[in-house]
Amino acid sequence: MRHAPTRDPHADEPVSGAGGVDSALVEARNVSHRYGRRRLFSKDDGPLVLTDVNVAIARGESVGLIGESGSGKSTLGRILLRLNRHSGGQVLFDGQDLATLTERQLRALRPRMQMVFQNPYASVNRRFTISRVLTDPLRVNRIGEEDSYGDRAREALERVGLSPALLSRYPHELSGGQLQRVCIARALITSPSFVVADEPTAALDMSSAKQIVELLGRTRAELGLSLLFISHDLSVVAQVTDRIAVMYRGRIVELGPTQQILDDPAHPYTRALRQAIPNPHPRARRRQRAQLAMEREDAARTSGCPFAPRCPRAYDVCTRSAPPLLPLGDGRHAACHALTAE
Amino acid sequence: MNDRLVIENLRVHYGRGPEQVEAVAPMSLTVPSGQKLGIVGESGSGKSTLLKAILGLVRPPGRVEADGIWLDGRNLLHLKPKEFQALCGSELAMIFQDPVSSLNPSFTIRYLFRRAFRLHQPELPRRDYEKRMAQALAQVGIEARGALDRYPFEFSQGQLQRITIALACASPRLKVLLADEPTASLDVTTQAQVLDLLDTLHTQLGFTLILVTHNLPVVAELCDRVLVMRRGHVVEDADVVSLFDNPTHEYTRHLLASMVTPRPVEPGRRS
Repeated sequence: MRHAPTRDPHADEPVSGAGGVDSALVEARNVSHRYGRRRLFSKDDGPLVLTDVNVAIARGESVGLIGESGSGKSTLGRILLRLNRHSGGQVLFDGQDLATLTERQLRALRPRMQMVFQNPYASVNRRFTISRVLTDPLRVNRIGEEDSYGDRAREALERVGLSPALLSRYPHELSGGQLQRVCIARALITSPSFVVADEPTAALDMSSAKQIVELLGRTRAELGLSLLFISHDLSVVAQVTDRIAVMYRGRIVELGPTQQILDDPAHPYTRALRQAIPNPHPRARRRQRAQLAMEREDAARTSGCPFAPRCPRAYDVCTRSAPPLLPLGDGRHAACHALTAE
Repeated sequence: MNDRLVIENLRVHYGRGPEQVEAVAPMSLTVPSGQKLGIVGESGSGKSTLLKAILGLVRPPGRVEADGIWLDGRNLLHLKPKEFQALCGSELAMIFQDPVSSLNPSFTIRYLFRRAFRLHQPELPRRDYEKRMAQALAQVGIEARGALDRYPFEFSQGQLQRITIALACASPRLKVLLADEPTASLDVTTQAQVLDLLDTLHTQLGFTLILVTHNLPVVAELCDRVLVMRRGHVVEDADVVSLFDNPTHEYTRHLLASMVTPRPVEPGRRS
């Protein structure tokens, strides 16, 4: 096995440091979440959609979060922004536990954390002009003077490469790519330090998707933003991130530097994801790739590794206990008995 | 190879007079038997409309004009509605982007198969239905025993897309399979499985595949020939290797440049 369990010297630190971030801006510590709550006569809780998630995002760092639908990646993104409450664990923003803040304190933090959603048409009020869409966060958060909003909106549009002529237009008059730029401009107008982009390219054409990815990468670098980029597509995430966290059924199964995850994925699930990316050249076509077993419904209830039923190299132990996220000794973490045990 | 599908001077337009919008500009196309043709373009390029026009699914105010659409020498435009209905779903089948909305949620999988058989394969005796359902589902890797009495919502998206493929490939007379973005709404791992499945079925059943997508890497993996469309016009038509090696049209180069892909996996590395 390639990754002998040579524990790195930091292995004794609490797992919350996963990824070796010193000055985390946003941090999830053992975050768990279930939807629904225990009802009076039912013993059954809602399904656990996040299980002991630990991830830290440093100032100015960009982290990609990938996984398939239902893996809990959007839920985690929303929890980090406290758009959703979580059931267990802690979410720290700039050292403060978001769950302990009052509504008022939280509001004061809101301008510093913003989100870009998947479908731009669904995330703007279509009765608003673009100018109103852009300046609404300022109005809501009472930032600056109303007189300055026009200039701010113009600046914001120019930053994302759009003409100020669009300010008086309505959302339906813009293309998907243009409107997604507007949404990015709106997220940036309050000068946030943390932005969550939840599949911002999924609803777009290939060429606008590429432009959006480039725009996010560029503005993040210019403004020193911390970015959480959520997607199910490894190739998109790889363009703008320093590190990648791979989620499977509510757990982070691998976490490490982007290039390493791409070149040499360790966890069997990450490898399946990597292999699943269609090869961009017909000459290099693979006839068949390693088949992942089909998803099984009972996997949700297992006490073992959630990936074990589909894993090509599952051992006995995998069906009995879930592997924790442990360092592999080469700068990344993985939750896999086959990689970290022995 | 004989020419399976021949399209001559097909044009689709919406509206009348000066406000007329041309969704597909006059185009002709010949697809040999067994070919895997990819049609790529961005939204609004007319690629889906082209597929719909072949199947007669363009609704007013849309209008299709063509000198002819020939499937193995029979002009689809001159068929009686009954004949055309018998041909759709048996010789000519289509799968759509979103498997959830292409299956009626209030019927079981068994009922959906039965209806498909009744409508599109009237010659099939009833006593053979069960056997054929099992065969069709087995082809796509789904066990019929657990699946037939369930409703669409009980399956994952990937499983549902397999079921729509099974429905489309249920006829032994299938000649042309039209696929409109069959993987766009799926996760990457599921997408890979569906692509592999289409490839395997193509080898086994020998149908002609016309795949519409905006995803160039998907085309690179699966197709033999590529048609690039833009604003209703076919701007490039080439075999897949030369299109990726030497794109001639400016727009094709632009599309290739906007592919977001990491370096390809080196064969033999890991696993």
